[in-house]
Amino acid sequence: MNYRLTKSLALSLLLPALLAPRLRAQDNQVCFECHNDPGMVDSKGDTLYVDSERFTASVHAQNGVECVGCHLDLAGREDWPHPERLNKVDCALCHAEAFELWHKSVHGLPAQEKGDLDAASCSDCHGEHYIAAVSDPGSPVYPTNLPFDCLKCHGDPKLAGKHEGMGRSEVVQAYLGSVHGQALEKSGLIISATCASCHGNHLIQKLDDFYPRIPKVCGTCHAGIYNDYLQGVHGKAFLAGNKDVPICTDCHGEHNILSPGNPESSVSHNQVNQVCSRCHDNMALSTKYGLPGARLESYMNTYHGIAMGLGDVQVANCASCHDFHNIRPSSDSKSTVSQANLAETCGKCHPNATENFAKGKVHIQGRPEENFGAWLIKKAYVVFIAGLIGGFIAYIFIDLFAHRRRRQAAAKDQSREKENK
Amino acid sequence: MSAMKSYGFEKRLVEFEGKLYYERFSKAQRLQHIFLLTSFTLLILTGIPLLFPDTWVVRTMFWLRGSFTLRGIIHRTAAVTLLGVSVYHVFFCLFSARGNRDLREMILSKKDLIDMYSMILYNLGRQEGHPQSGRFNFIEKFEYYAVVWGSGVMLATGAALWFPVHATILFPRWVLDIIRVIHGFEAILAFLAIIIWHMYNVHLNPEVFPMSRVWLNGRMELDFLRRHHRLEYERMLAELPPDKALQVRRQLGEENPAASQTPEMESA
Repeated sequence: MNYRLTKSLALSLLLPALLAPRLRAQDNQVCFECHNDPGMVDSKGDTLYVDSERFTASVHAQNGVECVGCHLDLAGREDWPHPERLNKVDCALCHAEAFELWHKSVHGLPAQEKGDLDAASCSDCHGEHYIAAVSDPGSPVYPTNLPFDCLKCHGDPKLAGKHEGMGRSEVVQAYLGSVHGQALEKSGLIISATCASCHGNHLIQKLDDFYPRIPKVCGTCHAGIYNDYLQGVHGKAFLAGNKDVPICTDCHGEHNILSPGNPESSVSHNQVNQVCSRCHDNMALSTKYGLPGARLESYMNTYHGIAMGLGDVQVANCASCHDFHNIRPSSDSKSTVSQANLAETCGKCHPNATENFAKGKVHIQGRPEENFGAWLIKKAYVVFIAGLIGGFIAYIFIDLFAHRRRRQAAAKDQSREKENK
Repeated sequence: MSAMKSYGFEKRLVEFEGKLYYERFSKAQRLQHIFLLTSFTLLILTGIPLLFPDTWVVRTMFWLRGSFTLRGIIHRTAAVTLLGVSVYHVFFCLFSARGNRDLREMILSKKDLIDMYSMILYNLGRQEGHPQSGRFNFIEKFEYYAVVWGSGVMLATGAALWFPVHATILFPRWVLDIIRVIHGFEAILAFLAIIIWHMYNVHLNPEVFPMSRVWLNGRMELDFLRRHHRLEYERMLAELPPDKALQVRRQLGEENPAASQTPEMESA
């Protein structure tokens, strides 16, 4: 309060002093004589109305910036009304730093290079006459409002279709249903990620420039997970510049990120396997990195996989054994699936599991070298069942055939007896 | 002790609506069969789907969230029921007069093999007359031992799979993987044996079609006994008190001076 008062006092004293030669005796009252009329329109019929009360409440007015503080070409004017077309307001005069960043952004560049007026400029996001401070809940760029501000353009399919790089509108719109969007909307949790938390505000970059920064961006809030990820096999490879390795968004999604507890989430208990197998059931990647392939298929052959396939909600998925973020190869002694740690890992679901419990292949493809006993018994059963059931069926056919033959013979005997009579 | 007492034929001859019948299964035996049948069916229904998880039918079966958990509960409840009836059956065989006698009749002998061979020859028309059986023929004995063996294997392997942590105190988990294979294939074997072999013998076989009702009321027609269990029939006649034996023969129209008074029985 004190700070604000001092600031506004200082500004109200300073600005008129700065603008004094051009300002003369003019103040906002002069402007509002005409512009405070809701019916005021220009020659095209567009409204020229400026609500004096709302303007007075804006962050600019509160800090002593008057109409002519932005509409500089009217400063010092004596004869009214002024010409219909005014010079474009230049925010950079005061907000130079923000302007510089915007200038280099995906929004600023097209405007500068191609004169593309669709690209967002200052007023498209912040508003015009009634600009509120970013910390003001009424501001369009206040966290709870920001997504809707961005969606004015990015949720518009027509606009998105027109400009390459805007992404599909429904993809961006999915943010509102995401765990971040819902936290913001339902709980007003303003520390939840909004558009600007990930993409930045003034300096929004192209995806190619943004992509390598994603793990760090997520790590701004999810610091512990970021740390885990960097220690895991994926994170290490990512740091080494590998482009095949998954980053946060490859598993969790981007705008549509859902809580892992949500069954619809790509990393929910029953869906995370699909995410892992995009790479680990992929021949090309397995070959390239010498990884064991068919990890999903060999999992689906186990009881875990079968139960998972039929909708069990407790049975182990990839992450139950391999961990989520701190995934390490089994050769790593810190890995949850290293031979030394397996019993403990199994024990998470199977309390008191011993080392014996962990002895044997977990991923099964039914090959003899995996478990010769199982393979042999399977073959033996197939032969035995085929033989036995074949025997049953043969016996039944012989039996039925014999019944028919005896019945026919009996009928013949009867008719012969009748003839004899 | 007389032979009659040891086989208890007098108790096996029951009268129902003015007719004599041979009591094939006592109430206790019929109840055991019903428990076995119910638990078996439930076990098959909740177990076999796991062997074909990728089929449309099975996917549809478990479309409801949580149905897989329910499947497990039903499967284990039925397994405990099967265990219960199995344990009861052991005691029944060992300690009840009826069970004990029937168990002795179940003992396999060389004759069973010869009977099977001879039955096939008869059915192929290579031999006149079919083999004569005692209380249980070779088919019935085979089915009985199949059930005993199957239940034993399924209960033992099932218990190991139910309590994997305890099982792996005894052996490494790769043995448990073998056990899973056995549990699955033994289930297929049991299912096919029942659906093909048992269903033929008690339902589709022209001798009993559409269904032998012995499992419901325990009674076997005397004529059926005479035709299919000739040795048992003869032993019964020999060991029954003379008046009872005469009653049986009279009902079947054998050596009966008053044959014209009783309706003529259909002969084999």
